[in-house]
Amino acid sequence: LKRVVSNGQNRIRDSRSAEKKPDGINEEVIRKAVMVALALNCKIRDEPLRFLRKHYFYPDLPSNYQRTSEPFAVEGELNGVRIREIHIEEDPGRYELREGIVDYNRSGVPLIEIVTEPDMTTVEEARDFLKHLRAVLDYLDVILYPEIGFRVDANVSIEGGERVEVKNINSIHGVVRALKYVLDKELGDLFEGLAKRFGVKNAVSFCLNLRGELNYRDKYLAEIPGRERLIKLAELYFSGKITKPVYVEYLRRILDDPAFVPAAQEQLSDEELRRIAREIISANPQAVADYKSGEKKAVNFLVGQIVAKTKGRADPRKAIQILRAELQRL
Amino acid sequence: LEEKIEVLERLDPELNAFITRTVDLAREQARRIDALVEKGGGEVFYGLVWGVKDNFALKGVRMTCGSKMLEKYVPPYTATPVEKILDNNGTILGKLNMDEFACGSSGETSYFGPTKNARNPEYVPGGSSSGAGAAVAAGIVDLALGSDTGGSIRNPASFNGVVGLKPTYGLVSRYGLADLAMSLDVPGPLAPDAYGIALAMEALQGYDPRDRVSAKRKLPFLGSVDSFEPEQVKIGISESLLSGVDPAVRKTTEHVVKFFESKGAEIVEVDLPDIWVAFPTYYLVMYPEFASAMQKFDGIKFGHRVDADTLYDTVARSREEGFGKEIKRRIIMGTFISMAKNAEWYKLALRARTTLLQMFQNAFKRADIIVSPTVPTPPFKLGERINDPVKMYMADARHSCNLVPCWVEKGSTNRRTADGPTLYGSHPCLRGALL
Repeated sequence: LKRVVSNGQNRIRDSRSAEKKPDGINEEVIRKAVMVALALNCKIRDEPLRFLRKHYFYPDLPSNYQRTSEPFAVEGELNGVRIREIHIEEDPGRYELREGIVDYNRSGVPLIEIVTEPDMTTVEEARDFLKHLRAVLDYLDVILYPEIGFRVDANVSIEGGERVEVKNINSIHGVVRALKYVLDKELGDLFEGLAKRFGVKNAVSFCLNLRGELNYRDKYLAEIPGRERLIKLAELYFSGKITKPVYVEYLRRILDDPAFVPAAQEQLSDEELRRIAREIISANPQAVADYKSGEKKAVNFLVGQIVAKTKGRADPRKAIQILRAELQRL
Repeated sequence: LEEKIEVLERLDPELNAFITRTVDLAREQARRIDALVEKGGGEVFYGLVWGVKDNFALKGVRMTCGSKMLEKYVPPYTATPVEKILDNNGTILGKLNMDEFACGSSGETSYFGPTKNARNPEYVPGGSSSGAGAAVAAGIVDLALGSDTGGSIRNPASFNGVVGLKPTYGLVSRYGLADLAMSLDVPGPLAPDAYGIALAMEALQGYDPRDRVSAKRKLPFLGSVDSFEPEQVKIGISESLLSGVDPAVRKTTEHVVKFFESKGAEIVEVDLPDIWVAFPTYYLVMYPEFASAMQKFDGIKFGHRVDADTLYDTVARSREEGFGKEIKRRIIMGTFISMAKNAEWYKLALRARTTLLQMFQNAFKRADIIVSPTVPTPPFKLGERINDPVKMYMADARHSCNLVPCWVEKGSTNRRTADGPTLYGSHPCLRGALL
C-alpha cells in the first residue's frame, strides 16, 4: 500500500481513530431500502434488524471489518426474476491493487444490496432485468451518487463448472461486456472442440482455468495468437503426458509468450521416482510414523515433498502408488 | 495544583501510575479557571485535579491504551467524559497507566510497566484502571476517570482502598473511549469518598449524540448522598454471591451488612439463582467484541508498524510486535468464539445476559441495595498470578456498582490494602456515603 486518498468529505478521519463509536443507524438508508423492497414485491421480515461485522484484513476498510445487515426483505420478484433477499451494508474504499492506492472517499457510504435467484439464462435477459431494475431505482430516486451508485456483481454458472463472479461492475453496459467476456464466443468454440475430444468434464475444467488466466491478464481469448497451441496443451494434459503443475505453467506461457509451443516433457522413470520416494521417506520419519499409525493423510504430505523435489516433473498419481508400495515395504 | 505536582514528582517514579504527564497543560487550565473564578465562575471542579485513564482521548495528547501498538498515537479530538471534566473546570494532570487495552485485573499487563499498589508497593493495584486506583489512593489526584467492562474500576478501587463506581451501561458516554467490549464498556469515576463520586457523576452523566447508546435520563447523585437514611433502606444479601470467596472477604462483607443493620436498615434475603451464568456469559460476550475491536490495529492505517514485503506480513508482524500476550490470548479466543460454526454462542450469551438482568431487576424489587464482595480475594503480590489467567478473570452483570472501602487488616507490618464490598444499587445510589 503506497498511498491513502481521502478528500475529507467522508468520515475517514473519524473511522481510522482508535476510539470512534458507530454513529448509529442511518435512518435515510432504512427508508430507501424499504422503498426498494416494496417496489420489488419483497416480504419485509418482521424481526429486529441485526448488523454483523465481516472481519478481514484488507486495505479497503479502515476498521478491517465491514458492517453488513442480515437480510431484512426476502422473496421478491421483478420481471420474472426472483429476488432472494435485500440487505444493507457499508461500502468499502476503492483499492487499486496494481497501483497500491486506496481511495476512501466512498468508504462508509451505505449500500443496499439486492440479491436475485439464478433466473437469467442469457446475456440479454440479464440486460433487460438490469434496465428494469435501474428504472425502478431511478423512479424511487434512491441512488445517491449516480457515477458510483449503481454497481453489479455478476455471477455466471456453466453447467458442470464452477460459478464465476465478476464484481463491482459500474454500468449495465459493463455488465453486458463482462458477461460476454465470461461467455466468450471464442471460448465457447474452443469448449465445443475440446468437449468432443476429451469429454465435457475435461473441457469445462480446461476452459475455467483458461478463463481464470485470461481474467488475470485482462485479455480476451481472441487476442491470443495460435489457438492450436491450446488444443495441443489439452491433448498433452488429458493424455497424461504432462503433470498438472507443468500444465498450469505451460498455460501461462502460452498466454504470455506468442512463440511458446508446448511439448511433452521427459517424465521421471519409475526407477528414479522410487529412488526419490526412498529419500523423502528417510528424510521425514515423523510423517512416516504418522502414516504407520493410521494417519493415512500423511501420504499427501510425502507426495507434496516429491512433487516439490522434482519441481513438478513427477506425476502425483504415480508418486502415490510408488510411495505406498515403499511404505508397505518398511 | 502545585501541591499535587509535587506529590506526583515524589511518588510516581515508584508507583508508575502515570503514562503521560500533562503538567504544562494542567497549569494552563488552572490559570484559565482562576481567571473565571475571579469573574464568579469556575463551577463544579474548581480546584480539583483529575487523572484520566489512558484509553480516553484528549486532543493533542498521546493515548497509548497501555500498549506498544499505540505508543505514538495522538488522537485528533477529545472524549466526551474528558470534555465534561474540562467544561466543568477540572484540571487534568496526566494520562494514567492501565492494563493493556484494559485487559487485566492486576495492573501488570501495561507495556509501560506495572503500577504499584499505593498502600504497599509489593502488591498489585488491581486493574485495569490501575493508575486511577493508585493515583487517587496516593493523593496525586483528587479524582480519576476510569473505565469498567468486567471490573476495571471496581477492582483497583477495592485493591487501593478508594471508592469507585461502575455506572449503569449508557449513563456516561463512551465517545472517545477505546473499545474493549462495546456492549459492556462504561466510563466511571474513582474518588477518595462517595461525595467525590457523586460530584463527578453529576457532571459525567448525560446523553451524547455521538454515542447512540447513551441514556437520555439523568440521575440525582448528589441528592441521593445527601438524603441517605439507613433506616429507610432494605439491604439485600444472597449466599450465592458469597460462595467461593476468601474467608477474610466474606467476613468483611458480613461486617458491612451488620453495620447497616446497626444503623437501622432492614436486611432481606434476595434470590439470585442464575448468578453462575454470569461468568461464562461475560466471556462469550467480551472475547468476540474485543477481538473485533482490535481488528483495526493493523499497522497500516495507524498503530505500531513493522514493514514487510507483503500486506499480509506487514499486518501479521505489526500485530505480533505491537500486542502483548494477554491481548493475543483474547483475540484468539474471541476469533474462535465468533467463527461461523460457533455463531450460536454469542447469541446465546446475549440472551443469558437478558435473563441475568431480569433476575437482578426482580431482586431489586425486594432490596434497595445488594451487598456483595467486589473481588473474591484480597490483593496479591506483583508477579504472583500473572501467568494464571483463570484466577485473574472475574465477571459482572451489567449493573451499576458502587464500591466503598471498609476493611483494613490491622496490626500487619505489611499494611495490607483495603478490600471492600460492592453495593449493587437499584438507583445508582451512593448510599455507602454513610460508611
